[in-house]
Amino acid sequence: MKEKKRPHINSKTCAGCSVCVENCPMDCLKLTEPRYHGDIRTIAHLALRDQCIGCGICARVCPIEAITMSEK
Amino acid sequence: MATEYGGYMGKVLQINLSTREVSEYPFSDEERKLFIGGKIMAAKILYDNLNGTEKPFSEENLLVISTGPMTGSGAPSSSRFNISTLSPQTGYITSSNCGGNFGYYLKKAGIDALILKGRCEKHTWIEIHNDTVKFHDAEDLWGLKTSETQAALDEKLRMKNGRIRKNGKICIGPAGENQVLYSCIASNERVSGRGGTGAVMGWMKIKAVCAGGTKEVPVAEKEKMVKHTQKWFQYLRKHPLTGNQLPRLGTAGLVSSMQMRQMLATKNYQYGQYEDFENISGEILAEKYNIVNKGCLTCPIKCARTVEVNGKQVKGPELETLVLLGSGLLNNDLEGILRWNYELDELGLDTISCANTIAYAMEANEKGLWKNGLKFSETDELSDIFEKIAYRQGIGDELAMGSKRLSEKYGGKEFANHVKGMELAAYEPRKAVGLGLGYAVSNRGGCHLNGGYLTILEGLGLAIDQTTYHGKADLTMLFQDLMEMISATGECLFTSYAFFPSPLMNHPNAWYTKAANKILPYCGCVVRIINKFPEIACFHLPVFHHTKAFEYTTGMKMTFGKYIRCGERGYNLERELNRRFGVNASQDVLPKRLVKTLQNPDDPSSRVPLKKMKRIYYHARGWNRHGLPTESQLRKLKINSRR
Repeated sequence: MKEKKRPHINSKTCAGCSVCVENCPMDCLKLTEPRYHGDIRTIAHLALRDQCIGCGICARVCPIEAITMSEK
Repeated sequence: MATEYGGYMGKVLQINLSTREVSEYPFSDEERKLFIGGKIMAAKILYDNLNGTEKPFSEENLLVISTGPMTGSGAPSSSRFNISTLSPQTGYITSSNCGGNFGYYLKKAGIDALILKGRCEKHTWIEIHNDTVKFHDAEDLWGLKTSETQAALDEKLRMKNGRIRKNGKICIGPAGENQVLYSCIASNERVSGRGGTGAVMGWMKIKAVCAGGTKEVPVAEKEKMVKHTQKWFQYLRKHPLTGNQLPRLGTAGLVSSMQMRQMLATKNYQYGQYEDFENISGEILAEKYNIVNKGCLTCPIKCARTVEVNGKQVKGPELETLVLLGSGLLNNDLEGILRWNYELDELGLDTISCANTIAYAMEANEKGLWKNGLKFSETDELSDIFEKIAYRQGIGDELAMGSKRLSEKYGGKEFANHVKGMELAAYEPRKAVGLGLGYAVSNRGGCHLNGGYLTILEGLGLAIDQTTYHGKADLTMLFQDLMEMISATGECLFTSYAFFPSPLMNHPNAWYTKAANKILPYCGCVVRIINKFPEIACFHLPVFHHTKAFEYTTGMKMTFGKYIRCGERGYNLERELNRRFGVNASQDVLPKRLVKTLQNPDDPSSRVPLKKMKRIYYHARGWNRHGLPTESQLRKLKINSRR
């Protein structure tokens, strides 16, 4: 069976602007927690992989095309 | 009215609350080109509907909630929206900008701006979803605090599948319900704080508005915009102010610089320095209390703090709140400030005006003018005082009037720190005289942002002479116009911090930075040339990404010169509207303390030379000696004078 497409977020380019998080209809994207006290760089990640329906809205709304949909 | 431009949804919706009539307000593409969006669009709508006789609490007043073409376009920090109305504090136009998600979702509903007029019969909340508008009874919400209201609304919008329908909200707290003159409107944890917009909404008996939908903001040149946005995000992340200082320390990071530059408002603006400043600094806030830095939707800068109050993670205080509830009251209890900041947001009170009013009351008490029991450094009762203000009980009912009206009643006008009825921000202007001018002439009253925020040149970014009057009038005009336009497009003003090239920020002692500091006060003539002939500046600046982004989003041709001209049009439009309500040079004044009393008795330059700067400013603006736009100036800006 073909694997469902899921968002892959380019951690180098993602600026953590939350647009994908806000628009995800299943609320399965979140911003990462700070890795240490004072960490200023938080980015989007697929927190609830099982809930993702692969709709691709996140990739469509990302203003800098940091999200791609793939079956990996 | 449909539009040929990108960035706009093509609809301005008007709701008459008295009749519940919903209609489309005509706003043409020609008007979009001239009046852009956000606060300028709102000023145009107010300008066309108010004749100077209306009162803030009246059926004739309008509450205009407007977005800009960049709102939701994908540009960084572009979720901003604006709320304009006649201010109950000043009686003139106020425009208050907010980073909550309401504007983003208003556009998803297909609406660029929402006009509320009239008054509901009973307490109401409004639901907007795509093309439908529904009125709901809000009796069960009335009395709730701002976060409780928003949580209750989410429950009402829960769908059959158990999920909450995506939406953006604005709401008022108890202060707005009780028409405290400086009450605000909340959207998520962000607030449209200044000018008393919440009181007008409360008078209209509107508890909240929810908006949402499935529409997308059209972008004229999508591919170019994506590439440009990628570069812009990178630029902001690498810039020392937007990529380091603001994310690391938030706006609170300026406390130490303000102390060093003697512009930290202390003890009701009696002094510019506070011995315990470190206790309320951004560094301590970041080190001991900040959990994670957060941003508004679409923002890569993330200047907001998150702190713990009563076991909950909540928004931390901004610079203004820290200073005015800290040094302003001679209070070094940072934990107290974190809690009060939360309480004020929950009650729906503007932290700036509220703190300033309490500081005035403390000084009036100290001087024996008004025996009210409030004392500097004694802040144990503040939480109770805030509640009393919001519910208008006891002394709170008096404090709800703000410092202007209190000083008219009890005396002490010389230390009631407001302009036109709206209290000043946290910067002591005797050591930032350019901002002193900005405070005085600002259209909405004592505001640092509407005033041009010259402190960024006077020590908080660059370091030009803080007390010279040279060049301050022209630079104030330039920065006011620039910020007017940035706001109008729906962008956050902090994106303009990156306007200052990184080497100047990173190397304050380098020869080129020192040279810039020396030269800038003498660049007034350059500002005037650009102002007179904007076509000369027919280019995009590499450090200012806004113009290209605007062009790619809307499809309108834009240059730096045109951008400034649009801002100038907005500023003059607001001024001309205020003229109808009686504004002239005699209202462009600062409290006597700031212009007559030296901050440092040994330094004769440590006061605001307002008279001198105002004269130059009016001249630079093309206004007459009464501080009003001339007919020819209005014609030049394509503003119909209707005098």
